[in-house]
Amino acid sequence: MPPLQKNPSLRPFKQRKSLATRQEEVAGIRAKFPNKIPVIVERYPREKLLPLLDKTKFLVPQELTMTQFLSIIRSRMVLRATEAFYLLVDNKSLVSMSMTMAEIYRDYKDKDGFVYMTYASQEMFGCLELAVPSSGSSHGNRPEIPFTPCQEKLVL
Amino acid sequence: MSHGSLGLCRLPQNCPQHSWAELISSPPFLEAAPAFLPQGPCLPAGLPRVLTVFAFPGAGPSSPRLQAELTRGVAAAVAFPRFSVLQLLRTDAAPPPKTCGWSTFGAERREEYIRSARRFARLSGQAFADCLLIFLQNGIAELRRRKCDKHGTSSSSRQPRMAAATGDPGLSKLQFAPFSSALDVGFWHELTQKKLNEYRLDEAPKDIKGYYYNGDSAGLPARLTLEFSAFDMSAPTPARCCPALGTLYNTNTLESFKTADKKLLLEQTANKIWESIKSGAALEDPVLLNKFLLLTFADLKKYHFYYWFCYPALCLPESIPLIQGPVSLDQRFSPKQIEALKRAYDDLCQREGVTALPYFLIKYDENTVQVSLLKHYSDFFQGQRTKMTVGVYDPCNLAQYPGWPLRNLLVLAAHRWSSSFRSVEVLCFRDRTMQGLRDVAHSIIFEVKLPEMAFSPDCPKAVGWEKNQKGGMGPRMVNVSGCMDPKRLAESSVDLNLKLMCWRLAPTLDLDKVVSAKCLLLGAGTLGCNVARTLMGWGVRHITFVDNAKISYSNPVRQPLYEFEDCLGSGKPKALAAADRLQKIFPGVNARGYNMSIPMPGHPVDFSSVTLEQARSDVEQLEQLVGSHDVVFLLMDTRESRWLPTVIAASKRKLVINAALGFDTFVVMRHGLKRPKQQGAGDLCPSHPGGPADLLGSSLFANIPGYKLGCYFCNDVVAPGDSTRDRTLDQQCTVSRPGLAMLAGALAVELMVSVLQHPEGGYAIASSSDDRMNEPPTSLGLVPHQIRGFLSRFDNVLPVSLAFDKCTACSSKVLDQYEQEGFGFLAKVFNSSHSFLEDLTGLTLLHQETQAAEIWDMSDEETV
Repeated sequence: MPPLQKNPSLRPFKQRKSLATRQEEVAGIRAKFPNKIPVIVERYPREKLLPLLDKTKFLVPQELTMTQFLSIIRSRMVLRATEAFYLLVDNKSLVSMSMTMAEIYRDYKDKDGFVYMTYASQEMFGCLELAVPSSGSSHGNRPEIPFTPCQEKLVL
Repeated sequence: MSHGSLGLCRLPQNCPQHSWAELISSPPFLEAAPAFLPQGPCLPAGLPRVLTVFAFPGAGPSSPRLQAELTRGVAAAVAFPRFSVLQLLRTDAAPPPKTCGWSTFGAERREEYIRSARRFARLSGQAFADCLLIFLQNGIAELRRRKCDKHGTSSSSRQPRMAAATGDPGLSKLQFAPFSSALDVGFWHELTQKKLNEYRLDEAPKDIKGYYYNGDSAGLPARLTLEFSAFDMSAPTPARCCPALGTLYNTNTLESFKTADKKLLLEQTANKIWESIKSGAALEDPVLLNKFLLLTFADLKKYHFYYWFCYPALCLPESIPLIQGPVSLDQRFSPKQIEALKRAYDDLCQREGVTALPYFLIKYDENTVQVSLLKHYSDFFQGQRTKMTVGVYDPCNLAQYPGWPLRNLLVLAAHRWSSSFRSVEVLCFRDRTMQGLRDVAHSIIFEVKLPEMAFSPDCPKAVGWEKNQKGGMGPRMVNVSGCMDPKRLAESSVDLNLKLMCWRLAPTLDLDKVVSAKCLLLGAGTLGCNVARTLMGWGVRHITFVDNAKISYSNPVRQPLYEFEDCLGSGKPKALAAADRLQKIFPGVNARGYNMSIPMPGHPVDFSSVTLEQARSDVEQLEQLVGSHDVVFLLMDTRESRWLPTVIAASKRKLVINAALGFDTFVVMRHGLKRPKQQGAGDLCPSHPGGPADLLGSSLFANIPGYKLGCYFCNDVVAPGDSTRDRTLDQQCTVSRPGLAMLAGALAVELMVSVLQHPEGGYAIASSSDDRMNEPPTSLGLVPHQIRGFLSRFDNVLPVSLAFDKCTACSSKVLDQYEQEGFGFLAKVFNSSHSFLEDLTGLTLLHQETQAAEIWDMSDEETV
């Protein structure tokens, strides 16, 4: 993603370190741990719902599948069970869930040697509407379901 | 239509003008075209409303040249929408004339026509296209005449129907070519308006007005034209045309139309003419001789009009002997005399402040020609005792016969002047402009003996009811529903607009696939409204909405199918209001709305047997709707509400287009279309080699066929559940940039259209961002799997993702359960927490396993 944050600590990883530094770093990792894949995971700059991960650099076993990796990132973010998100690889691709990290590394690694992934919450809106019905005004909620206190507030 | 002659074809009367493109490009029309050849009133009305195009010499329906001509014609018709009639000039194969029409003329001649028409348009103030038309017609007529001369045949293959003539066999008898009524579509339209708004049940006779023209090219019958302006008695008559005054008898029922006393009506009008002759009023105002009757019945439900036209002509007691047969004017007059005649006629017109004179007197010698009005006859012919000459503005084109208007003049002459003159010389004045030159030389002149009837006081017998298309005495019927019914007009206009796309921009576009797609829109909110609008733009005829919300005050500004009024009184149900609005926007659409809820995972339905039954019937309804549509659009506002339709549509193998919005991001995608169910999944779709085995092997940008593509739920490892709990207000609302829904809605429809254009439809291989520079698979371009938009960057990417074997919606585990247990399974999903689906698909196990995976995380500074 292009730089949006003014705060230097929130600048994308690529801008925080020079290409040479990054290449060097990858070379070190690959030499020491040929079975680990270096992955950078960053949040979509305008993402508001998902929390920021405290770390951006991950060394991941190469036999791990995308499914497993996604599951791990979920648990690191401590997402609610119903909160959906997706990982965009190399800023443009969604990879198959059954792909291994080794395959992803083969197909998507950056010229500096890292694989870059961006996470963002899955879009789900379609109406200019409260997602929760007030007096039955949205999808799928039935009048029989008692409103939660939070929903009560919305009616006002 | 006999072979080898030139005709004017008119499009069939039930053909709305805007569907010409469709009509003329269809082989049935081209083959049937000769059947539309003129029969009386089928002929178009006054020239300026007619666009004539393109002969097609002996061309078969599929001839590229013919197609090109027609295409150009329709393009012109579209460019000049005031033309209500498109004429096709056609020459049918067989012996000469071989070629006629625009394509007949060489480039030079065409240029000349265009130049002359421009000049003429400037001088006359008429539209360029009208002028060009005149030149074209004249040019064609001229060509044809030359050919006929060469072959020594009459210029017309049609023998005119003659007025009965009996009597003295010694001299040949004068015969007259009757009028053909030419009732313009505009006339029927105006009659409809008058009937609806003004006449209603009033059957009293109404004054109307028509006109006729003496400048037609050869081959056209003499026409009395009624246009939309016929009801306005003060409307000006078109330049160089003569008016005729008529009476309209519009009956309320077909029965009274049939039983109307035609004989009486004719006699009444004849009497009026006779009175004006006797009183001398007709001398003062000769237009009184040109009367007509129109008996009509308008069936406004079907836009069928029954009519019977009558142009009363008084009959002389005996037939009229010709002393000297008709010859063309240039055989009798010297060029000098002809010039003098034109000048004298024009001068008289100018003095009278008119552009045409129906009847006039002529006096000539070798050097001079004088003309005068009828009322001045005694001064004008003073001293002349042997022969008088009268001029008649003659709409007829036949070389041997005068037109109908002469008849009443001869009665007037016999009544008034037979005591003074034994014979009268008649000049049938025909005045046309051809290739920029005015020509009256084809006028005809002859001499007849005047019968004596000076002292008979009673009105003579009259004739004049027009024969019908079959040549019998009976009324005609015209069906103008195509031109009149605004709904059909709207429909054909919508189609025409789309079809224009196929002409040049996307010639291989298969519009039928789009127009005939039945679309189910789940959600009638911001996305639903925009999707529906775009579908309408594509001419989609079948649109169904499902929504359970009511229209609220915040909706109309972003949801273009609703208005403020719709929000009042707690708001109308969206699905119904949206369907109504579509119908108002375009009555040709078949729009329906279902005000119903879609049950969702994590939103229990088991509070009572009532809620359970409600959910069961909602599911059944949804299954039935998905089954009866071709494309399902998911446009709802939560993740979990998309689950049930995803499962049902996947099971029924329906194309799903899913659109969802974030704040400034959106996703538009087609769900992978599972392979057809019959037999083993493996052997089908032979065009897609390779099964699950190669899923991992190839690069992701390799060709991924539609059946391997993922759905909306394939990207994450959690099942949908109640996402609305413990969220704040802004998290529960669609807070998105207002333009986003329009972008996403439009892209959703365009994605559907591109998929439908692909020969493999939903099984089409997915295009990715990397394919943007490659040869596109359809005439419209790429067929991506997903479009993910990032409005902050004004950027879209086209990711492709494979179906996830543990997907909580489209994996075989879920689909199998649904297909085996039906509602029982669904109810479990609705009533349970998200873990139910995760257990089923194996995600729970996966979550547990992965916690053990060894992943090292590092901050920027840390390194190995």
